Amino acid sequence: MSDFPVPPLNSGERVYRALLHLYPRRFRETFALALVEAFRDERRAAQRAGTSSAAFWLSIVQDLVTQACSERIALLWRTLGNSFRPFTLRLMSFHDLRLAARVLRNNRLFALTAIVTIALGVGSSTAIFSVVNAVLLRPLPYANPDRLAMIQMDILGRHFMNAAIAPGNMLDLKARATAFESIAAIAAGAVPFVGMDGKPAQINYAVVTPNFFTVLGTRIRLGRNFIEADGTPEPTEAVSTTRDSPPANSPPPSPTMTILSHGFWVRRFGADSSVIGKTVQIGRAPAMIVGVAPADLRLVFSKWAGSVAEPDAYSVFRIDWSTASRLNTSLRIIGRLAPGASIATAQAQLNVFGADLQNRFPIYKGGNAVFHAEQMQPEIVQDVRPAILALMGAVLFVLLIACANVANLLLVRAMTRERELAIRAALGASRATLIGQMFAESILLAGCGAAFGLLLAKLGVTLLLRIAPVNLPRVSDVAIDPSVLGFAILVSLLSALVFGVLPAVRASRPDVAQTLRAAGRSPSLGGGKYLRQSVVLVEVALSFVLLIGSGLMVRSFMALERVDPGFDPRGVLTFTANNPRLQNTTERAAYTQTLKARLEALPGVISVTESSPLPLDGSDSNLRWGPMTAADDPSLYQSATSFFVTPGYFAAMKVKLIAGRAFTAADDDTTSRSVIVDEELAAKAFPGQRPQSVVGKQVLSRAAGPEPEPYRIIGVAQHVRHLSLATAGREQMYLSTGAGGFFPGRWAMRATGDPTRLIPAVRAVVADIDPLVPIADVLPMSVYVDRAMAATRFSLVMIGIFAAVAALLASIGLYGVLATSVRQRTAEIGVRMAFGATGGSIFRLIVGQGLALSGIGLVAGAGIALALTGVLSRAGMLVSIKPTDPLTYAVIALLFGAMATLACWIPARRAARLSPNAALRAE
Amino acid sequence: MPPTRHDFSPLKQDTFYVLLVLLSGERHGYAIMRDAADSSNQRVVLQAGALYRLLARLLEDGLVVESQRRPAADADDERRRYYRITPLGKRVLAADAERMAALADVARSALRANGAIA
Repeated sequence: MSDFPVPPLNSGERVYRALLHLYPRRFRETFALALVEAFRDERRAAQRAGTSSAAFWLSIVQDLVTQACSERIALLWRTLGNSFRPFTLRLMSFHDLRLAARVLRNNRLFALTAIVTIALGVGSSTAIFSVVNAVLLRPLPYANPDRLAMIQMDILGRHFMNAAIAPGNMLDLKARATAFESIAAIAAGAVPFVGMDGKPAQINYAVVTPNFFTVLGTRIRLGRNFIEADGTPEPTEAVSTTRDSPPANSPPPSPTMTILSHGFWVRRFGADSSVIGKTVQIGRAPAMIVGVAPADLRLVFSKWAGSVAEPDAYSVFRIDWSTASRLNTSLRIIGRLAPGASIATAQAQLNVFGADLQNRFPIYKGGNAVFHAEQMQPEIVQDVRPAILALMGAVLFVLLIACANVANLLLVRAMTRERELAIRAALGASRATLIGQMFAESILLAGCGAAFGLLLAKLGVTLLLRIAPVNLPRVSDVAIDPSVLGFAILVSLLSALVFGVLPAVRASRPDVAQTLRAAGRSPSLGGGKYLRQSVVLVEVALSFVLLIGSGLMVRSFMALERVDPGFDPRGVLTFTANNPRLQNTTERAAYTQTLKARLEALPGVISVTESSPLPLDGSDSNLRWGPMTAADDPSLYQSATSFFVTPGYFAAMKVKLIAGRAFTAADDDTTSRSVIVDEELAAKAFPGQRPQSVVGKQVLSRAAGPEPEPYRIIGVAQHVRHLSLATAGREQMYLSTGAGGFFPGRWAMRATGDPTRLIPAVRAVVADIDPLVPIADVLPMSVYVDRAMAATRFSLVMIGIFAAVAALLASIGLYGVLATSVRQRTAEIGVRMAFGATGGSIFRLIVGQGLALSGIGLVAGAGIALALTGVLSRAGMLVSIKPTDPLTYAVIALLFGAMATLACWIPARRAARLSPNAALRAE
Repeated sequence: MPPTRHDFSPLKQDTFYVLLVLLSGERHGYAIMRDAADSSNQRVVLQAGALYRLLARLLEDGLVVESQRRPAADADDERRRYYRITPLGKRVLAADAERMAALADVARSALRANGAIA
């Protein structure tokens, strides 16, 4: 093409010429030489000007890449059409769309498959990403949330991590941890509430430091925020944070300042702004309403601060911090980092703080207590993060498979229509007309798919919220995310457009004669056979991985269902009935014993107990214990889960006593020093001894007072699952309610038949004893067990859905490839038959082809699964099952093989039924 | 319908200077880049990629044609492609200059009435 000698190339020029391939071919052929000339001139000029060669090449490459890309885009734009400018009315003419709808109606199976594929991809990815976004990604709803940190204590010596902090340490903490500009504390729980109308209710309640809302950066909606003066201690009594037991006959306390949550204000007070300044009763004490919190306030760290995401009311600690308890670990601490300070600085200060406490107080030394600060956002999601990330992986797989499937479907279809398009082009249809029609078809497919996808996403989010485990933080924030939905729709539209329109662009090339000659025999369009086969192979492999994942989840769930929780939840009704007006231990004891006796007298009731906590109710309770030798060596103390129970507990919950006896009425007294330990505590305290010989021995504990005292073991019980159904958890000890001071817990009653039918009778009994006592949390015990399985069920359902979708899509892909292959090989099949091949051998040929394809996919998938399922077990999603469980692999492979055979069946049967005559004529 | 000078108005700055440079005679690619930079006080600095995309458009629209290849007068004896402005190109350039002059007149008299310039 050059009519003059080309000067010798040097290496720089060779690179430049190579880069020119970025341009579209036509442009390159026209201007390559001229560009090279200009390049030489520019280089000479650069050398003269002393420009460094790096700078020169940077500018050259940048110029070339941007220009070449612009040229390509411009070219594409022009090719798509003089008459084909997307988003103009002409393109989306009603005529085009009507034609497209008719074409798709005539190819219902194809259209439906494509639409379902797109809908599944869009729907599942949008639903899951909406959850991920709300839980993991969206910043916390507080001012500068990345400056917020949570401060916790680890009692290393007792393997007790992330403990709360005692109020007596607050002043020291503030003095030492100067990296925080402010430090707030919160303690939450449920208390009885009596409004101005005198009606009782149980509400969720949080006690906070006056600066709590300021630290979070929350503005009070109505009234005022807390001020420091609100926290001034009552002069006459020392209010401790929990288990408050003021001396009898104390003067009526002055009202504590209270801020209502927006929801409670609307529900209970009808959003009446005149409530400000009114006095209500919260717990035992009067409370004056001074403000209303904003509607969007959520305590996203609720799991960590007492399981209350939206306390109905907040009030202020009125503690003398300088004399407060250093033992009662009850406060959850939030700090806001000072400008310029880092978590690392804060941690260094906390280390000093911890060392100082250990030096001053033997109990901190004995337990080896250390303190740590974590950024709030990563900390609150860390429990669920691995599971959610695993789900995200699953959804990514599904999206990939869906895209691959759409591409495959459209490519196959383009191939079968190649001849039609070429004929129409030959008869004078313009390129624009052909492309426009394909465009309309793609838009229609993608649009329908996206619409159904939106529907699926909505259903999916609803389903997710219904089965979401209780420990999923910020779950109430989950909603379909518009940007995520937009992205998913865009992706599906793009894949439909690219794979729908590009074949048309190519098919409508001027050179139709070639296409017409070749059509039907050696497809030039829609990608080669190998491309489509490898797409299917990838689909098979990916969906097999997902199926393995869901198989493992199913096995975990089955394992979880078989776990013996150590008690029998069937036939047990639970509720709370806390009386707010009981002043002292005597009154509390009387109330507890009266209520218990009245409940026991109800017909059909077998046994009744009150327990704090109940197994699996989600609250942690920690008590220090030690062997008698711990009196001299505090490092021997350990942590156990403690249950304060009334007599009747072991019968009501059907917890097995291995040795000794259960509590009797005589044990239910403040002076009682009887304890029942579980088998694990017995084995730890008295290694190598049989449970029977442990009974009668003593351990140290401080259940009733500030100092450790010896407790006599009267029985040894079977271990019970408490914080989690999946893992055994810490050792456990039981004390009588009386030994703990008769503080309220949850009631549990075992009855014959359906326990819920007792609910009206229970309400009547409680109202008869005291009409102002609120009844709350009325639940069958089985609900707690159910909730404990929620996380696993959640993952199971999610991965199960994805695996099913993926397997379905992979079979569709397999079917598509084989059906096409049969069509392409019709002539060959005819020849084979003409030479005596039977229908059966043809059938085997086609099925064999499909099974070989899926076999390779399965092997690849098994490899990927072996590499990836370790993630599931590391994420703690598997219960008593190995990620390499051979049974799961075998069953899933069989299942998948059956499905693949089915997908091959239909095209193979069609091939086998071809008559040789017809097959040959198809040529 | 052949394009008229009105189809191109207003010209982009790059296009304006390339046409302006070619008004004073045929140029090869690098000379256009250099002269455009010089006459625009370095406001229009084109590199080869950008220049040739622009030239491709101008060729397509008939504002510029390729003239004979011949050795460059200024550098060495390599033969180059030279580009020449067409009569349509001249009319387009003139129309754009008129348009800008008219704009300037309107703006000047308005500013003068406003007392912003003398």
